[in-house]
Amino acid sequence: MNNCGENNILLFAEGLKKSFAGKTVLDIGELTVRGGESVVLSGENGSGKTTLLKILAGLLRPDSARALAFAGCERYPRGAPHSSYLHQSPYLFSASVRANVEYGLRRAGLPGEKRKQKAEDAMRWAGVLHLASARADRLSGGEQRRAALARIRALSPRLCLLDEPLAHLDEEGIKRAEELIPQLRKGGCAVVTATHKPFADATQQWRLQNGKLICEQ
Amino acid sequence: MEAATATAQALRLLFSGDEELLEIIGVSLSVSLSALALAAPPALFAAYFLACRNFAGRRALLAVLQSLLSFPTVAVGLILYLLLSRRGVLGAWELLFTPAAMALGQAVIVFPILTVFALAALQKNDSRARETALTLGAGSFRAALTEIGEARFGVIAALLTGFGRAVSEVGCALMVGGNIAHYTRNITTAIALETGKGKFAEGIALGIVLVALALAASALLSLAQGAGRRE
Repeated sequence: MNNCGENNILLFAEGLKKSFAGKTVLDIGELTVRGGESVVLSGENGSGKTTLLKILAGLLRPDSARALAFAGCERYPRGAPHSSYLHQSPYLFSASVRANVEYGLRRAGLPGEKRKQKAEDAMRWAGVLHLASARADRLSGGEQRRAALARIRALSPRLCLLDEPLAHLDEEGIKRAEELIPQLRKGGCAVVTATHKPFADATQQWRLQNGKLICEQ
Repeated sequence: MEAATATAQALRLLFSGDEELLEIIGVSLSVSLSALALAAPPALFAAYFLACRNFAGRRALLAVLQSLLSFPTVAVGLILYLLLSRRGVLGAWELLFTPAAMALGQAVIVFPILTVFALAALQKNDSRARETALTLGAGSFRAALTEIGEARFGVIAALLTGFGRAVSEVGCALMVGGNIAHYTRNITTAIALETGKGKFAEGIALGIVLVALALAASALLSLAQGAGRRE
């Protein structure tokens, strides 16, 4: 069954299984994400949150899946277009913040002036415009997180997959990230956030337990 | 005393802008840079493939590449000579005793150096680099280029080491180039010839140039390594 395209469904997966070294990490019956949703994914350390997010981002292949589709695509593409994944500890290319934010825009083929404008808007939004020329890999943890969020924001993806975006941040960093993440949803983008912290605006709560996904609306 | 006189003559030769000397230096640079351009793309591809993929025979392939690092250049010259000679498999190419044959030989010599050094640099890359590139919309090829870019200081170091090896080898250049004046005579083959003829000043002058090139490559290497060091 492929429900994508119906009822604003952005992401649909059914019968998702993944094992590592003979140990089942994920055995998920069904999951659905609609445009504009905020999904909070929780679970103990090692419960498979990162594995699930990477599968949904197209970075990892599941061992089997009866259905795994993104916005009407019959087959979930590797490095799925229109979806962005943020590592628990974001990776920034060893270049300037501006070059990092423009990376995805270049891949999308945006012409120079439009690309520059979009990148500046995203950096201003994340509060890193003053760091545009700084080497991204030499920023503080909080600044790196915001630069990575700006890089995602610039692409206006339809789905954001954020892996523990508040981890390893000080109070100020958490406060600023908590302000930015809900704003990613503007324009119909769905956000799936793996976190141990409750999110006030969550439309779905997913909990991973022994490889099973417990969904609460 | 004789050495001091020869060195003084060599310096005079160098600073007088002797045309023949400049021509020989030009052959060396063009052949070695061509060899680097010829070997670098397949070597980087091989290094990337070896860094990212695990396949049967990978370790054996690595062992072969590492042993090729110290493969005698004269042996490469001999094999290439046999292949390029009129009755050889590649005889129809009519490359023997041409700068192209010298570049081909040097490319063979630097290929394992570039591969092994670039592989060492790529293996230090963070796996998140590729994942980040892919999730930002890069295709597999573009993601590979990004990864190579992330390891750029190590890759530059590999290229400089390769250049140093190419420009200073003599065995292969002599065998497949033939040391033909105004055509395939480069710095190393000219040094061997001039010294053999007892013309030490020319030999020393070219030796100084060769050492200067090697030192310049070394200095650039140190700069690249310094720039690549994370704070």
